[in-house]
Amino acid sequence: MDKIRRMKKPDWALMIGLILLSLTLMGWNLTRPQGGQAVVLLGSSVLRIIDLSIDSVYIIQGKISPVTLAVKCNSISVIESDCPLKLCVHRGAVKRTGESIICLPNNLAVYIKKGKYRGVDAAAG
Amino acid sequence: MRQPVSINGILKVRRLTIIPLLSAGGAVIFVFESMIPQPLPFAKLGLSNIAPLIALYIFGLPEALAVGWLRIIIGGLFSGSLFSPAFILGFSGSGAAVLTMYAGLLLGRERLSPVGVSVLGAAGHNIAQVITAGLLFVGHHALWNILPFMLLFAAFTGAFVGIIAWEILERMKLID
Repeated sequence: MDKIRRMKKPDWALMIGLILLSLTLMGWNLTRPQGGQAVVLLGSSVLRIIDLSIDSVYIIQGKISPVTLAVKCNSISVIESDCPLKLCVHRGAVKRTGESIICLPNNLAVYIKKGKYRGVDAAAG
Repeated sequence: MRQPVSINGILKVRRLTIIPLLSAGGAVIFVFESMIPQPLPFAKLGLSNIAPLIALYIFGLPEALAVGWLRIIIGGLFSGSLFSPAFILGFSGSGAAVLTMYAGLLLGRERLSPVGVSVLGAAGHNIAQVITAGLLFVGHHALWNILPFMLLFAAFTGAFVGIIAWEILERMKLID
């Protein structure tokens, strides 16, 4: 506790600055608009693009296990995956542009892209 | 480039003993920390960063880098994660942490206490990890969304680590 009292002003400024910076970045993330499609990446290659306006369930083969994705009310979530920590499942549903779900053990990333879903051909192009 | 210290000069033997001692201590904390379950990927205390922080205060940049990387290598060897993605992330994070802490020290000891230096190091650690993960493993900007959460944590874990390191430095009578 003696150390906390002896912390100098720049120390506090650094800590508070860092907290404010992270809160601003979080707030900025919240203001992003909802996106219309989800891009599923395995590594750095696009596996498929999912239309978020149609509720459905998708099963995608990740690196170590199949991953079950659920689309509901314009949002997407990972509902099942066999990875050890299940961080992707706990991440919950995402729907705003730029938001993402990442499952490192499966090398899988899902992120929301803005714009309307334009069909399979758009994904290929 | 050596930092002035309160002990009179740094004997070669002193360096030869303190550097491995700090690396070993850091590695032990590193291994113990990896055994604590992490509720969130970014909620790590980073306690083993105490070792390079102390090395930076006693010696200087090269020694701190050595301690920082040695503890990752030794820790990786013991926890069986040598050269795994987690190891590479730790390696880059540790290097960046030492560099940012060094930058903090250059600002002056009268302006910044070890707590501020440690907070800088924690922030540098996280930013470097996100960049490395983005470049090598995920290959996508989506990873950036996690950074605010990591930085928020870093402000507190960094300060905690800084307080402990400060206490150790004072008890070792290495700084005033």
